[in-house]
Amino acid sequence: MPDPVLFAQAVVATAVAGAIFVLAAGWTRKSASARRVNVASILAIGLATALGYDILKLLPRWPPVNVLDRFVILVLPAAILVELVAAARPVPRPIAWLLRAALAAAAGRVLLHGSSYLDGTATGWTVQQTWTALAVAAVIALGTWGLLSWLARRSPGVSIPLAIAQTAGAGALAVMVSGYLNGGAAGLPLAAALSSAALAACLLDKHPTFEGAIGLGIVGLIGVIIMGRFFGELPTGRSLALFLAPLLCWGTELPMFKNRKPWLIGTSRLALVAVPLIVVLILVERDFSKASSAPADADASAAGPPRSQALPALGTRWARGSASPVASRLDSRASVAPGQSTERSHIAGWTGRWTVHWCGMRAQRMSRQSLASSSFPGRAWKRVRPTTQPSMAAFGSYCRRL
Amino acid sequence: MRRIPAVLVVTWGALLAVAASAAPAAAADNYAIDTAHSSVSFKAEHMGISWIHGRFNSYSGNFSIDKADPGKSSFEMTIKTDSVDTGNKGRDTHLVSPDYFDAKQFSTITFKSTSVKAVAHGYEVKGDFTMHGQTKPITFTLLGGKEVEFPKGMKRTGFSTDLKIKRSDYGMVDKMPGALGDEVPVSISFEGVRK
Repeated sequence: MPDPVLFAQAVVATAVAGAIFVLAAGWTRKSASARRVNVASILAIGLATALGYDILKLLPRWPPVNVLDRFVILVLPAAILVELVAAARPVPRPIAWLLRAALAAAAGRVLLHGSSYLDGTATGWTVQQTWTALAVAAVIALGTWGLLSWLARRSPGVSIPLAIAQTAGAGALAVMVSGYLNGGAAGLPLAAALSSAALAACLLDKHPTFEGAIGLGIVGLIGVIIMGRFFGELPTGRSLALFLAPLLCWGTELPMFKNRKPWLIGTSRLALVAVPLIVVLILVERDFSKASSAPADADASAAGPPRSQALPALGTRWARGSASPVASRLDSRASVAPGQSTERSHIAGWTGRWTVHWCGMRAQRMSRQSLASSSFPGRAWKRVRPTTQPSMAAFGSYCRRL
Repeated sequence: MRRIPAVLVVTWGALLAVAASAAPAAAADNYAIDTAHSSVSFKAEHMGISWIHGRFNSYSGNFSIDKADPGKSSFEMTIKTDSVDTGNKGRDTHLVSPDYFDAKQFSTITFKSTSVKAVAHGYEVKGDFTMHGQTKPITFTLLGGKEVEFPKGMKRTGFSTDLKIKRSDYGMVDKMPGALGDEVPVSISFEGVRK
């Protein structure tokens, strides 16, 4: 059970600490250089996040035994190290991006280490599917990272790290509500540290680069979303929406935003990014309320894993649709009080209609195939017979063609 | 009366001794757990005010009973962690997450006996209990052992036990202490069908 007071304490303490650490590490009598502010931000985000994890009692055990331990012990420190190396003067940009690419590629594998996804025993996942998912996640992560860094150079502004922070915060809440409380909670201090460090950096330098903050934010986002997708019940579609949401910052590069004031561009970026985040949060909250009030489906549990797990790559909604004959049967048995229209019954209606439509389409296809391949009409009739109204229409069409 | 040579006596004696040692001892009966007539259930205290009951729907196991030499008996069981069922889908989703069972990382809970001792009405079983990736020795008393034949030709026997598992011993620690009881009473009852 989550403790909102504890979460609030952790977020506030992390935010304050992040700002103090940036100011302490980056302050000089003269104006601080962009590189110095960048390094100060990286260190501040790392230290403040660690403080937040300590308050939330998320500090890991050694050796790491679960995904959260690996995220905190291996992935986040690796991101800090990579960003510190990238911020060093003699390191050329291609080398820095090579390191970032390696981190993006390795993060997923490290997080899933030792899990049933990699030994092929995870329900509904083959090892090949897992590797494909990890490869896609790495490409998306690197693409998002690159595009946001490019945007930060092309049209700099504190709104970019703030947009990543708000995505990390929303992702954290989504993962918490999707069944993995501590995994999601790991995103909260990160979001607080990111935003406070980015804002504090603006006090030190008029045009900070935010490269380190963007890097840490993206890696944090990878970690939180992979935890939610693979170890919680966050569906693939929502995971992708969360991950791609910061890219909406690019929306302010449209001609209509040209020559607008920086504050308007920044606010627009945050508002654009907030739209998919709000939609995702509404959807996960709706699912959470439904799952919390609904008893476990005895039939489904006896038959095997939950449908959302059986087809993880498709997400919960499509998994429901794919199991439509079973779902409609189960849903038709669900007791609905008179006059009450539940979402479940709506789904039942939808799946029922879909089933009828599918049957009709199948019958039409079969009758066409039969006409083409068989000269015996009775055989074709037998094949289309079990279907419902649309299949009768198909039969009519078949007779007319005869 | 002719006397039997001593050499012959020794030779035959040795041969008989070897034969006796090689003869099969009363073999143990091997059983496979019949999941249709078994249950693994537990209850966890919520905030110290009520108990939430749950069960595992998927498990398997084998055991062998050697009545002549109970020390040679053995028990083993494997429970699939993602089959936890507390009657609430939202809670079950949370229970299989890394906050509790971490079913994707530790997909099974296993028990394998290391020693078995006959006691009144059953057996005292010691063994290694592995949960959440950590193995600890536990001891419990299995009561039962009555044999029946149902249906005809299918020999069955069954046992039951109640034990307490301390979650924190296995690294299953709550971030909010007191929300869920640390000590979880577990009730296991199983029936085996002779192989």
